[in-house]
Order: sequence, then C-alpha cells, then structure tokens
Amino acid sequence: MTGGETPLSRARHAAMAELRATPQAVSWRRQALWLVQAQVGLALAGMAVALVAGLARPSELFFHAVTVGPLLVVAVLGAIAALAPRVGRVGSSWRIGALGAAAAAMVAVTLARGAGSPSDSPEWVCSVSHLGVGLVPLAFALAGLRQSAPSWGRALAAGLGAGTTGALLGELVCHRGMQHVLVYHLGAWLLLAVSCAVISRRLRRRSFAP
Amino acid sequence: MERFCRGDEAAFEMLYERHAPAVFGFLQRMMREPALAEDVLQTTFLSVVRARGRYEPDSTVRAWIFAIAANAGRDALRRRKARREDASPATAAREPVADTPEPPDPAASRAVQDALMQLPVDQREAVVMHKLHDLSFAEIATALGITIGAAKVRAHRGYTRLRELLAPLGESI
Repeated sequence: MTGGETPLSRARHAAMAELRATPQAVSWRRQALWLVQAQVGLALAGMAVALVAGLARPSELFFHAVTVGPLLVVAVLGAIAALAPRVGRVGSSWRIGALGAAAAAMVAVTLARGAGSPSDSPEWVCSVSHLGVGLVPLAFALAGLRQSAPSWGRALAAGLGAGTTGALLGELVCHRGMQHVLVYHLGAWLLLAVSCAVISRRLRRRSFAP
Repeated sequence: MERFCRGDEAAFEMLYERHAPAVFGFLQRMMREPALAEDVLQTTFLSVVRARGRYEPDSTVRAWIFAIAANAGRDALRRRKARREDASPATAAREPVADTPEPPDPAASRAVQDALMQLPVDQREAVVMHKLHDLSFAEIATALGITIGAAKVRAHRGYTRLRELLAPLGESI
C-alpha cells in the first residue's frame, strides 16, 4: 500500500495502468470467432491428414454430412455460449441452446453409425485421440472463460464445443458401430466437457464480467 | 463507454469518478472488512478495463459495473470462507467500514450493518443495491443475472428478514 493514497485512488491507478497496457478492447464476438476457428480449423487439418494418409476416403465426407452439420453447429454455439456476455437471460439462452444442440448432435452421431465395421486397433484409441485433439481447443476455451465470472453452464458449453474437434475427426476416421461410439466417443467428449468445467472453476479469473 | 472501449483515459476517469464511490460503498457493505472490500474494488475496476469488449449497450453501465462487483465480491467471500472455515466470523463482522462518514446514530447503524451481514448473500446484494444505491429492479436483475421478478422477491425477502432482525430495536428501516 502507498502511504497517503485512498483505496479509491489506489484502485484507479491500478485500472489506469491496465488501460495503458491494453488500449484496444477485443470484442467477445471476435474472441468467439477465434475459438470457432481453432475448433473447426484443427478438425479440418486433422481431416486433411486423414485423407492424405489414406485413413479415410473423400466420399465418406458426404456420407457423414448428416452428423458433421450438427457438430459444426455445436462448435459455433459452444463458442458463443462460452464467451457471450450475460445480459438479462440472453446468456443463459445461448447456454441452453448449446447444451441442447450438443445433446441432439450426440444422438445423431450415435444413431447414424449403425452396426459399423470391425477394426484392428483397440477401442480406447478413439477415446485417447478424441481427448488428444481436444486439448488445443480446450486451452483456447479455458483462456476465453478466464475473461468472465465463473459459470458451470458456460464452462460446460465451452467444453462441449471444444469436444467437437475430436467428434468431427472420429466421424471420418472411425468406422465402428453405435455401441463403440456411445462409450468411447461420447464418453471422451463428456469427459472433456466436465474437465473444462472443473478446470475453469479453479482458474484465476482475469475478469469477473457477466 | 464507446470512448473508453477505444482506450480513452479521460473517458475512463469520468466513468470511475461516477461509479467507483458507489461500488466501493456496495462492497464495504457486502464485506464488512475494509481490506477485502478494497481488494475487490481493485479487482472490479481491473475487470471493467479488461472486459470492456464484453459490454453490451442493452444494459446500463452502472448495472454492468455492479454485476462485476457482485461477481468479484461473491468470489472473494467464497475464497475467504474457504480460508477461514474454522475462524470466528464475529472478528470480521466487527471491523469498522472505512471511508464512511460517521452516522448520526452509530449504535443503530451498527445494528443495521450487523443485521445486513446476517442476510444470505443474494438477499443482501439485492437490498444493498436497491435501498442504499438506488438501483432499479431492472438494473438489479441485470447485475445479478436474474429476472426482474426474482430481483423483487430477493429484495422483499431481505427486507422482511431485516425487519425481523431489527424488531428488538423498535425501529423500522
């Protein structure tokens, strides 16, 4: 504490120093765009690698359109729900939308798979891959979540959005059946979402904005 | 606010002059611990600067800043509770509120402050914002992220409980 300064002037000096350090504000919409780009960009890069490596065929992209569409919606809604300011009940509407879209996408991903075909690799490889490719979007999501007050709904939506990267890759690369998707893909996706919520709660906030 | 978002220091000075004293008063009444209230005041305005890109013109600037103060205050209270789980709350509750002019009747004022501290945090927030800082129920709803009806209910429950707690004094608030 500086002698002679009042609490009000101390807080003013600290805030002014922060303002001088970051004169330009970044809008939450731009941050949400970055988050979507990280999630979808990484999934597209992974898909490109899978196509080049011969792990998937281009025709499969069209076959999986019915599940890729909802997953992209979850990626976008999850990013918006994670970062949108809470103004009245608007913020919670985004969160409910994101959680609802994620539930619908999970049902679509599971039901669209059918009986599937067997594979030589162990089933847990899909879970590990899902979690692995989700780490970068998760880091972006957590960085975004530090900009606002803690909220379980917000963090869960962010985690579900981050999990879409692995889900998109899984759609292209994995050909196993419904039961495998339910346990090893959705399980990893939910684990990522819950991890995001738990880690976010423990993070030191940069801001307590609504 | 637009000028402040572009980094205009004079605009921030104006905003600070207008809102900081009220926010500090709110935090002092929420915390009853001057050092903690001061920390949270600083956190609040650092948050205001860092998160100015999140401000939406749908809400008033006052409600937005009170929302940040309430969030930061709740977080600080939660952390303090975690730190002092075994400590007596009476020690903190009896510390004086800094930078507040001496009230006409210090004993009554102390009784009101003590009664306020016995309210649940959500009711205390609503009562202090409404009664002591003249925020409208629409602004309180925005600040606390609830509906206007819920803000009224919280304040009403808080007032009812305060009356019960202060009844022995024989005065209405």
